[in-house]
Amino acid sequence: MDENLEVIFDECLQAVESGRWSIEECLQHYPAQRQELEGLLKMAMHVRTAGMVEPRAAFRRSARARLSARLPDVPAVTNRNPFRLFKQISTQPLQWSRRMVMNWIAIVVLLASLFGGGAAVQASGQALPDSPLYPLKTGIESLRLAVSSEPAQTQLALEFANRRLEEAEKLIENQVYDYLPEVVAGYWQLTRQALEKTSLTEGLMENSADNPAELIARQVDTMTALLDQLPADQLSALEQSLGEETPAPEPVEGEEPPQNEPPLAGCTNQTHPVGVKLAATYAVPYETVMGWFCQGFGFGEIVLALQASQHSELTPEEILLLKVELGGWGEVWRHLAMLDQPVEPLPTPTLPVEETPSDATEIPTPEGTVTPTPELVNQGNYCSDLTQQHPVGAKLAAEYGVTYEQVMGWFCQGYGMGEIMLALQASQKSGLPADQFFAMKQQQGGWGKVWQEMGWIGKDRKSPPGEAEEPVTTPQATPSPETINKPGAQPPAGGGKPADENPGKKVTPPGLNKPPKDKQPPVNPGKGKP
Amino acid sequence: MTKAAPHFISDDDLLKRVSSGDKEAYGMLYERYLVPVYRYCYFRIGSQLDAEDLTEMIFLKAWENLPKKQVQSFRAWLYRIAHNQVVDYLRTRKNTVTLEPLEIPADGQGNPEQVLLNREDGRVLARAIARLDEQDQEVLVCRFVSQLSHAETAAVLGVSESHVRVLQFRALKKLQALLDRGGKQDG
Repeated sequence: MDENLEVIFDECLQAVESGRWSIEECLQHYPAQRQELEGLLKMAMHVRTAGMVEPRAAFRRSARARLSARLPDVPAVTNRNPFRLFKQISTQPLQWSRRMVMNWIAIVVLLASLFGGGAAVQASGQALPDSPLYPLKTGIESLRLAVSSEPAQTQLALEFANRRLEEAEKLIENQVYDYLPEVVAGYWQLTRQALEKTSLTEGLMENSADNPAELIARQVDTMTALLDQLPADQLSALEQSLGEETPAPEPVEGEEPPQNEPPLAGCTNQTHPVGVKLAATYAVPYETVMGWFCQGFGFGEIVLALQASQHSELTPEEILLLKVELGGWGEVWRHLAMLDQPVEPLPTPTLPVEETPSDATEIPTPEGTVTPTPELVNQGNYCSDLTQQHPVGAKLAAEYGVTYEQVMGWFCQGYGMGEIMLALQASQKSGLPADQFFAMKQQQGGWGKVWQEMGWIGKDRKSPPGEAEEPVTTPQATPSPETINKPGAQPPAGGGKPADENPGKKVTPPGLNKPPKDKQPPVNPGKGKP
Repeated sequence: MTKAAPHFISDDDLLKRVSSGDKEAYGMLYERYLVPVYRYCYFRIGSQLDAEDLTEMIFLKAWENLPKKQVQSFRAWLYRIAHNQVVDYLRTRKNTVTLEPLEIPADGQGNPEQVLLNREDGRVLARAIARLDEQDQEVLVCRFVSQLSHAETAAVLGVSESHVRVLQFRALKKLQALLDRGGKQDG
């Protein structure tokens, strides 16, 4: 019966699909099978209709362009080079196309299956780098990354980066250094991947506990702590094997070339592999990264600042300074979010000149003696149309207990809201007027130098007023980074441990995982050249 | 003055041009099969974003493995690649079926209610199909979603045409039973 029905159904289906019959006409041809046929034919038509889903419009728009961009990388069919895959993998490890990954995985899975099939795949999950199954483990990871969508990709990359950290820890513990370069390189590749996706898909300013950037920072700190346990010769060998080109520092007009500066205390001439990698990842000079590090900031913090800077008008250095002032990254995110508020540009006034209220361009002059000459900044029409309130200006005024007019006074002189926030924060900490900080910034040429002048960072660091008496009220009282990477540094303000008890990790963002105590680097990591 | 209808170039002709390195021709094939291949992927894996990724990968894979000799049906050949990619994907993603919002075209109707209805239908259908076994999924998606012929479906599945007839019948019955049992409510 069913067999007969299959044939009848197929005949009807083809007739309906081709438009020769309607469903009803088919049923009239086969009245005995009407009941079953009707349901099945309707179901078939329903699947056809309901199956008419469309990809997202954005995907359709960009898909062909993406394909075109990737096709040139694919060699012509007739010109296959059997070594192409390996060459591309070795020269462009961070630009693996999914095709290449799939090819690679296919090879790995095939090889693995020869040695144990599915069991091998399962067993590979625990494989360490010296295991024959290790390539299968990393291969499967690559495949999972290749086929996952963006938010999941970041999570996966972080998860796999964590595996590399665990592997590195075991290798260092067992003093098996041969595989370390592979593991560390794998870790950085995953970290870069996560960072790229984070900048695209995650709002860094979201003050959530599992902020990917903060997870990355924890991992970077852990990796730093692990590498700091390496003997000098192994560290040097590792650095050489990772061999990363980093941008040279650009000479700043009116400043001495960096090589003339004396090395910062606590930083030796040895290159730090983490510094090298960060410099390459963010295309900043190695010297700049190490400058921050040798001032006492952890690499994890430097990652956070570099990453946050991509979303903010503040430079990485300014964000690090803000962190010193605010004491915790949660506060930093909150403040940056304040700056990040969308500001609608006001329409250009079209009123005749004589109708423009004469006081519209009068800007309240802030108290003090400052006459800054800030760079020309497009301040929109908030300075000419005082009836409109700049939302960020209003927020800053409320946050710091100053008048809106004061904030806008600085803004209309050309200072950015980020700078205004820094000055207000410094003013709050020191008790000095904010104007004084603008003046100092003008004289010194940068906020970093102002902080040094104030003794908040640098060799002559002292606690900002009030800090010594009262720890910073953030989720985690934060010591000064100055104590971190230098020998004999004074105990941190705000109740942190002395430098020799908490080396290399003094300024830890709230909630960050610290490496195990016995994995802590020595007092002064002493790695890296300025 | 009437506008001449755009000249339709067959898959075979485009494929010949592609074989001589004509990327534009490949782009035309891509435009032609982007949505059908996407639909195939979506109903096989149940995730909109992953289906998009997989669709791109399939076209890259196809470009890399362009047939050196003439193939009977480019479409069937392309879907065979899609089948292999989906199988690989599912192998690594067992037990994870994520169903995300779909966009259903308001083709012609312009009726928002109908659009919503279609969208919901798509979701319900995807959920129901995901519960069938792999071969049933495959035959339903090939035959009814992708609207491949029996011969093409047979080529994709690697079975005979007559077996496709049997499979499609059985799979439809299972789907019908599933939806009758309340698959719609689960969704």
